[in-house]
Amino acid sequence: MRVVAEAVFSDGEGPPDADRMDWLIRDVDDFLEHIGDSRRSVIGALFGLHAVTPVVTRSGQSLARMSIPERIEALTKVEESFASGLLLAVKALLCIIYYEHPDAGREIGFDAGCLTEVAGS
Amino acid sequence: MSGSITQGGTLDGDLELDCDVVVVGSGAGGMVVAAELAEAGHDVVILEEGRHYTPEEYGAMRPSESMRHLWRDGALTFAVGMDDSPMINVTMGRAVGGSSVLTGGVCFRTPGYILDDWAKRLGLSDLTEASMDPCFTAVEKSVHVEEVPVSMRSKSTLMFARGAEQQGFKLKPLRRNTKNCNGCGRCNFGCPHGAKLSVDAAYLPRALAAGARLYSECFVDRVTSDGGRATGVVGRLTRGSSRRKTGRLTVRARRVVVAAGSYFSPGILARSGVGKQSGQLGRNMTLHPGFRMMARFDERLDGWKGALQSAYSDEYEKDHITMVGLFIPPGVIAATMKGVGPKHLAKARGVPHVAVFGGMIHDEGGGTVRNVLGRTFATYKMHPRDRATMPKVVRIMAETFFAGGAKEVYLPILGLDAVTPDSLRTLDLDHIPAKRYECSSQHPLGTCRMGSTAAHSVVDPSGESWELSGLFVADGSIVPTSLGVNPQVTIMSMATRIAWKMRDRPYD
Ligand SMILES: Cc1cc2nc3c(=O)[nH]c(=O)nc-3n(C[C@H](O)[C@H](O)[C@H](O)COP(=O)(O)OP(=O)(O)OC[C@H]3O[C@@H](n4cnc5c(N)ncnc54)[C@H](O)[C@@H]3O)c2cc1C
Ligand code: SF4
Repeated sequence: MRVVAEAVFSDGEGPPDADRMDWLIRDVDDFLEHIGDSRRSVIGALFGLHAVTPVVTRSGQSLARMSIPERIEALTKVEESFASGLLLAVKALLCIIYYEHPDAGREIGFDAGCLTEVAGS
Repeated sequence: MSGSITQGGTLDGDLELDCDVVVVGSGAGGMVVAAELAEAGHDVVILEEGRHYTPEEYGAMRPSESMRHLWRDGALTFAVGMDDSPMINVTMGRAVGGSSVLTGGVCFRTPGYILDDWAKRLGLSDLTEASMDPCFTAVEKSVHVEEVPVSMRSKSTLMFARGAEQQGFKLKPLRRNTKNCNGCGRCNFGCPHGAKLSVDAAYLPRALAAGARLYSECFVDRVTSDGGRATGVVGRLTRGSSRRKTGRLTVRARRVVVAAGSYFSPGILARSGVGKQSGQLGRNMTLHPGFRMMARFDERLDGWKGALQSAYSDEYEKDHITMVGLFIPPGVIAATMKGVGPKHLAKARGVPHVAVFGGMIHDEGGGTVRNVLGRTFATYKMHPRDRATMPKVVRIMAETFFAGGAKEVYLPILGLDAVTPDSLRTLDLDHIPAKRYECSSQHPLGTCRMGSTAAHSVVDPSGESWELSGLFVADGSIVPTSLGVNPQVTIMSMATRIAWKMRDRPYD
């Protein structure tokens, strides 16, 4: 999951700092622990994504072995391919949680207390 | 007399209970029946598979925390599209209060022409507008249905309204079950301010005050019977996120009300050997397949500020389309825009400029739920008329946003980048395969439908099973057709009617 997250949220300079990525991955794990049968679907989508990327890029190289710029390029190709749904599934989960981090929310101009930390609590 | 709430996960060993009425499921249907019957003096036990969270607890959750604790299976529940039908993300709640906790609060009475259709086609001549009026009125009073003032509309909704006016129609104000709503826009994750009167807030306190006993983390497997009469239910106590079985559950009751929602009530009946004779059990599922449209404007909108749902349009009802305002968390908006890395971040920074509106199809049905290897499996084969409506609803909403000044529109179509007015004109939406449409539903209905004959329905006009006396169904599954409007008031009103009929009938 981290391999994909680092690419999705990378700016021109590299991935977000390690603390934020650690928080994200911990929270994704907690999410997966609580969602019953759906856990298998998410893990399946993630495996699928790892499996199709070398095919779509025709490089034979696995996502995990790619540098971050290579991963960005590879996942961009996946997004254009028949396998876009796999990336969307993984990206949706990552984005929902990532932008709940108040710093990540702020970076995109999102300031709604009620949808990150709850106002007044 | 005062009732109680017990988290099943805190109990050790087996649980055995006796009562007058056991209600399975504490959502929009079940909680209403429970409160009405408890207040009429019946000894009521409510069993709920999910956990109980107080409004303070769920109000403190982030949206994704709500999705993992209150929504069923992290909101990743689907109906598999058959043939040229989309895959539909059908979401629902699993907690005390059921899906009611997650609504945007939208309240519509059952449209009169729908009730007329039920009377004419299905013989449900008792369910007229006049005879249902006391039920609607009782529900609306209990959950405080009020009109959303125009001042609470988000800028996102105002943009769609502007486009609508350009296109020659006006949005109408929605009515919602709220009191002192501050427009913070997070209704779908549980209201943190106690302003949305979901059934856990409006009906549970009434049920408890009248002595009802609620047990959460109790999964009901089947209804027990003896000599053609329902005698109770059996199931299991569960604990924690793994829902590990911790004990056996046995409830002996004089009457049983199944209200586990359209996905799960048919399974409980099937496992009990009831409801199969008509051939309708688990069939006839309607969904109101829905599509969300996102549009980017030059001006900053902060679309999350304002009542989540405040306005709608029935301008295209003749085309079986209802459009309803909504908003979704920024993370979801960002995820659905194409891009990875810097391109993704650039799009995500545009989220404050994005407006969202939803359109749903008043569908003909075509959904089925069945048990496959012990799990509930749903399929949906879209009716050709509805299949033809999909591109129509998408085009109407996109054109409305463009008329309102949108620069780009993000169609709910997998793999498609933002479109401009020119590219929309040349886009052949009719020939895009249904599987590429991103479709969702929050309104599964009809899988144990009510009817006037045992040959065509699962329950009779009083909500009682045609096959097992003393077994009632009172949730979305009995609603016999799709409604074209959001269903919670219909479900609660039909549940009220069933409860009143049960209340007035002596026990055998
Ligand atoms: C995100 C979302 C937004 C919505 N917004 C609106 C809106 O704005 N307006 C509107 O009118 N409608 C809305 N709806 C729809 C509305 O909430 C539902 O139609 C309504 O709550 C359905 O009522 P029900 O009683 O059939 O089922 P539910 O409310 O889903 O309740 C069923 C309950 O039964 C429990 N259960 C299931 N199986 C078992 C079992 N075996 N044992 C014990 N318990 C079991 C479930 O956990 C659940 O709590 C929305 C729904 C969702 C998901
Ligand atoms: S918009 Fe109103 S009803 Fe919805 S969560 Fe906020 S206060 Fe509650």
